[in-house]
Amino acid sequence: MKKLVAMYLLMAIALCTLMLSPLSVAAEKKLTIAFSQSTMNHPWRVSLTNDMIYWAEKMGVDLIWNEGQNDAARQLTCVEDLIAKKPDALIMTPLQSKALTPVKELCEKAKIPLIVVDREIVAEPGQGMYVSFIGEDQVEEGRQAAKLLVTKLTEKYGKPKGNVVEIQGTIGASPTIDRKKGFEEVIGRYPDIKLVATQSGDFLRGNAMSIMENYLQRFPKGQIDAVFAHNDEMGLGALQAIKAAGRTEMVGWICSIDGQRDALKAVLDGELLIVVQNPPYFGELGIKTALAYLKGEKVPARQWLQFKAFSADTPESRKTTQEYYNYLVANDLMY
Amino acid sequence: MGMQWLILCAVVIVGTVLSRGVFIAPTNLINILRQSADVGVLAVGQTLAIMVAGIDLSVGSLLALSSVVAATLMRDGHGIVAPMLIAVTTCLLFGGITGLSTGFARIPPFISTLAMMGIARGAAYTYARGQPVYNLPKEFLAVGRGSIGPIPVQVVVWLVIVLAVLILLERSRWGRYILMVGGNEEASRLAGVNVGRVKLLVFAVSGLTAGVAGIIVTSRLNMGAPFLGMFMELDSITAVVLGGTSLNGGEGSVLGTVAGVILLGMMNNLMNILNVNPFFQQAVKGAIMLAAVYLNITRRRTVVQ
Repeated sequence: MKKLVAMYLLMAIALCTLMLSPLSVAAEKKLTIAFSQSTMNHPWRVSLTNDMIYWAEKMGVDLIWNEGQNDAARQLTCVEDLIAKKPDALIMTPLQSKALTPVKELCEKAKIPLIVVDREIVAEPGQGMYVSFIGEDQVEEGRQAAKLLVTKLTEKYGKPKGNVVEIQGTIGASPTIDRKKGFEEVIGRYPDIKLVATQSGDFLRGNAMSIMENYLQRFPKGQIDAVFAHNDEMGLGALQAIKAAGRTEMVGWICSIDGQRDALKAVLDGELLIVVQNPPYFGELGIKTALAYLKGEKVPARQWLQFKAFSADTPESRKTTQEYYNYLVANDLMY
Repeated sequence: MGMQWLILCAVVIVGTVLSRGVFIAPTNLINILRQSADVGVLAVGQTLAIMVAGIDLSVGSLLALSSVVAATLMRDGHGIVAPMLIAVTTCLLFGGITGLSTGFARIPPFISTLAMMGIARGAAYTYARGQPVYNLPKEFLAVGRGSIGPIPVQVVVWLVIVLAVLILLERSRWGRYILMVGGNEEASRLAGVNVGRVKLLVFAVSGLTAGVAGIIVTSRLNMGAPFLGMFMELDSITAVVLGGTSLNGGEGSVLGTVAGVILLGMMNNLMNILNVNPFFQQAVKGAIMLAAVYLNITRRRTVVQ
């Protein structure tokens, strides 16, 4: 009896799974593009995937995709599954560079053009089936955050001077390394601007909030001037800690990176100093590049996604920020 | 007095000296309590699970589920109280399912809660469509940010839960049953204890505390999100072990767990304040943990001898 019930249950589950998975009925000759996402555990990743789906539909190609559940070995398996379906092209955003480099070999064997977005693999794009790399200059993002901060500190003290605390992203992750590098490169030119503390908040709002609470204990009023958070979630967490502690002198002295909607709102409200965009929108350029290559056109080996910086420092910058914020609200987008 | 309280005192003294007094400031101590309340609430349920010689790996995922359920319902304008109740009840029911599968289907808790860890996380992601929920009602933020006198609200919630479970353990027959089942499951079965029901109770309570912790985190962050609470099950287990509860079950103390949670919170706070290199922090934490548990074990051995 028990076995029977178990069997029925299994059959029911199998049936449901079948019904939920889109049965690929052989339709008219439409191009199929495969997309391998590394993880869906962050809204930024979810937005990237949604953007891929959006542009695939808009450009009339079939998109098959899966995700590696934040595990490089798992993503490799997922890529193999995708390749087994013989897509016309593969777009991948690797979890880690080295671990997913074998994908290039897989694509060479299967003769499927590969486009890598966001993070790189250890191979030169533009050779063999590795058609193109589309990235973002995260070092430049760090630089831009620092530049406005230097200007503001100079306004405050009459010369470039001040103490900055940093809340890093996940230690060892490439965005952390690059953003820190760019920020420190600019700050390093001014000996009187000092990075007085740096801790890792793992890109999470709650961690950053705790770290900021602890910073505020260690540095009483007047001892620190600004915060550099490696992403908006952490910038907003720091802001909450600052407000809760009543340290109003720090409000409006936070720099962060990513460009998410409520961070832009905080910029407009004068609570964040600058938010540098790190858009997840690889869909359009990624799929266009794939289609261009399949048509036999020549595509650039390396391409960079454009990004904006949002502040409310000048009337023009406020206008840009307001417009982009309105656009996000109107389209119900996160970034 | 347990070894964990002595270690706690040692950390306080060392911390105060190293930080030139910043660490011991009342505002900082309140900070530590505020930052520890979420793990503290989770760890109460975890203590019970470990006392019955089990473990609950699902608490971090249940926290996320509670968070997205409460936040979504609040955003959609269903008030504050109803969403909180629904979220906590959902987690209680999910914990109950774990309890049934552990207590009656006799699936080992490591497996049943590992399964629930996946189920609840998946449910949270599906329910929230992978995205966080922002802009929660202003009145709700009082849970995670307000305070009663000098004591933050979430710390009061934590205390109430600790007291409730203390009463359950000390004043009701369930408390005895939990220790009996943890000590020797077969013997307690023969003695007429309904082992299945005891486990059902334990995992349901653990689900409930995870639900409450989810509400606290959501309010503190002003955000409900399906990715919250990752690895918090490990933090809660660490706190329980630091608090002197044996992973073999059959013994343990909720107050010890409170000390363990505070110890963890103090270590994080102190390392921030002293600006310990982030690369090095995890190693420091690991080393302190090893030392604390070792001291606990040697002390227990001497007591037995």
